[in-house]
Amino acid sequence: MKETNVHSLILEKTEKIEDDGLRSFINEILSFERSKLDREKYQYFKQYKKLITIHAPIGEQKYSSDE
Amino acid sequence: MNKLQIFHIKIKDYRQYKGTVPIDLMLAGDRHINVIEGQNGAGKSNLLNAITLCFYNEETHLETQEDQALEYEPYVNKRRLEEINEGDSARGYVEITLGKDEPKYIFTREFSTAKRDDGTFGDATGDLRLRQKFQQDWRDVPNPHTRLSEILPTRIHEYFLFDGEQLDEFFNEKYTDRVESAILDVSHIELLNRSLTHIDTVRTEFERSSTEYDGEAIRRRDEYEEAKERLEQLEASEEECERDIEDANDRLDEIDEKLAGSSDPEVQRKLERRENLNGRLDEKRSDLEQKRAEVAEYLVESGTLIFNENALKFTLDQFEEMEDQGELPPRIQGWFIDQLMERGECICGATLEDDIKKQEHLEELRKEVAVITEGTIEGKIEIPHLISQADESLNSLLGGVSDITLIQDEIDEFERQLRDISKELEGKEISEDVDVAQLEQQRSEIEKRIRQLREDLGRRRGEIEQQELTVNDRREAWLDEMEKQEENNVLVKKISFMDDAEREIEEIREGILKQVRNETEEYLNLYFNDLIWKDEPYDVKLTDEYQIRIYGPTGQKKLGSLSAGERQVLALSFMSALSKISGFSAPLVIDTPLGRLSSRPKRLIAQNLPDYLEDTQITFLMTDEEYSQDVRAMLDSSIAHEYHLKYENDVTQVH
Repeated sequence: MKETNVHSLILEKTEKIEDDGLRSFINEILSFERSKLDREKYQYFKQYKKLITIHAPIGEQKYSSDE
Repeated sequence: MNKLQIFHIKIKDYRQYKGTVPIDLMLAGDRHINVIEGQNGAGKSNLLNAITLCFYNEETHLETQEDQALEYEPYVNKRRLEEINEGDSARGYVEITLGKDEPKYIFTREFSTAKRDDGTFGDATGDLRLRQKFQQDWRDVPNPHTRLSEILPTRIHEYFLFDGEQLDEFFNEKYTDRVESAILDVSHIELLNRSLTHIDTVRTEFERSSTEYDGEAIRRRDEYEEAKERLEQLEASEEECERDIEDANDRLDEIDEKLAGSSDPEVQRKLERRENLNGRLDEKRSDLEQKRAEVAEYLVESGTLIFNENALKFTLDQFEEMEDQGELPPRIQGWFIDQLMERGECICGATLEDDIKKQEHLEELRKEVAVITEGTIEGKIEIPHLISQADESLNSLLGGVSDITLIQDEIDEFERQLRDISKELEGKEISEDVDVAQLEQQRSEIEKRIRQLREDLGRRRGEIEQQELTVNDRREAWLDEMEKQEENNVLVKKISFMDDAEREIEEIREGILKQVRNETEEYLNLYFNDLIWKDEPYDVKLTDEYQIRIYGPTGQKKLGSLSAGERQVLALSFMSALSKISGFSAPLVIDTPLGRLSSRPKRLIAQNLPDYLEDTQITFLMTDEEYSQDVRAMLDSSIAHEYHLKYENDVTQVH
């Protein structure tokens, strides 16, 4: 495993998430949290909001996970 | 080697190391073990301290010593301090070069000791510095802690850099917390927990942003907010209860410590007996919890089967009755209808080809016969199997219930004995001794309070469970209302997306915890059985509550009954298992790995440990007794470097 990566144990499981948007969102927030792992306080709100806007099925996009 | 290794350590004027002392630890081909040998006090532990001081600004060995105040030594070498004037200070550093195939990172930390006018010393450490190699250039890295945390996170360093001799302390009281946090550490659960907390905060913000909308949705949202507020109050009260229990237990420990000061042999015997009973009581309580969980699981898995056993038996009887009456198997067989249809003529001579109605009738009959035949075969095979499964489940369930009763009886008996001990101690008046009677009365009061608090805690947890359901119901009602309004669509979709992300992450967390627990158990079993010097096999279990249980040929072996050596082997197996499954490629440095062990386990560890961690650089800091002829012979083919520490006149030389 590369030192900067999210643990392979976690990645093996996120890869199994079928919905593309949800999988990408979770992988990206985990990478973000990984980069801040040794810090107690940091800004996360903007990053999360941005990632939700990118990956959540808003507008025309259909979101399939709860179907 | 694919894994990280320490290439060199350079120490300047740290503790008993005077001047600049370089120690080369680089691997040599497949040889991945370094041995640094020296007598007690020669400076082995301070080598481990130098590493942790450099990386984490802490000294592992001293921090775990109770009598550290007695061991105070300035950071800077004493001989060096003799060379400076009072009021001046001297500096030193520890420098560690790390990398995989070639040096890539150089971590340095400076320290200084001031020589005060009154002859005392004052220590200080500088910031961590990191130089990293980019192609051929070494450049300073602005935030060395971030890089270090990627290579070897602070939280898990104690599974790579540790003092073997102190490992037997690992299984002292409250060890399950240590085991749990160790497993959480290596599983990166913190990463998932943070993501969940942050999703929750962001979602709450999103939910609050809905105040700009009006109508029924707002009313529903207020109801939901109110339920959430109540849940928060209950959770705060649960935390308070837990804190009170912890405080009361601390007070209990203080009283026990005072009672232990009694010189009366009878009091001592009773205290010892109480300690033993309390230990067994804890184990029984945990057995009870586990048994209850097992019985609940049996019920969930096979409850339906057990409740329907009579119906299944009735169905089987019906089959048999129908067979006896010649109704089963069906008188008309499927192959016979097939032939009729193929021939196009009935046995009575009527033509079937032109009669659609008759054809349809035969087609239906064929399907029916197929279902009956298939159903009979399946039923006749499956039902007896289900009945026997139900019988087995019922027996397991009844066995479990009877085990619960037995355990509960044992618990009642232990509690009765504990009450007797307490009463006897409360009546104990001994002159010129600690006030046993008074202390015991206080103790009984506190125990009573703890019992009350535990009951409160149980009630509170029940209320929390109920309130969580209310919160969920109200939230759903609010979201349903929101969905009715077109303008809320985007918000509802975002919230629902976060809900799904939360569910996925929670599932991942559960899955990983289970997997890591299973892997830890697997490696613990393997390592412990290989390293322990007993011939009989042991089964090592890691329970859901993070208890470690060892089963030998004569049943469960209590952790408290293990010798110091056995506990050390167990802890070493645990540490090696964690190091193996952590996914981090950190080098291992173990101080006094074989300290409390006799010759056979020493040999076994020397023989097996290097094989388990064959891709990992291991540096053993050993006493001359540990590094015996046998051990040396076992390690010989894997040794990259071997050093001897010689301590003379307050200074250690490395040879």
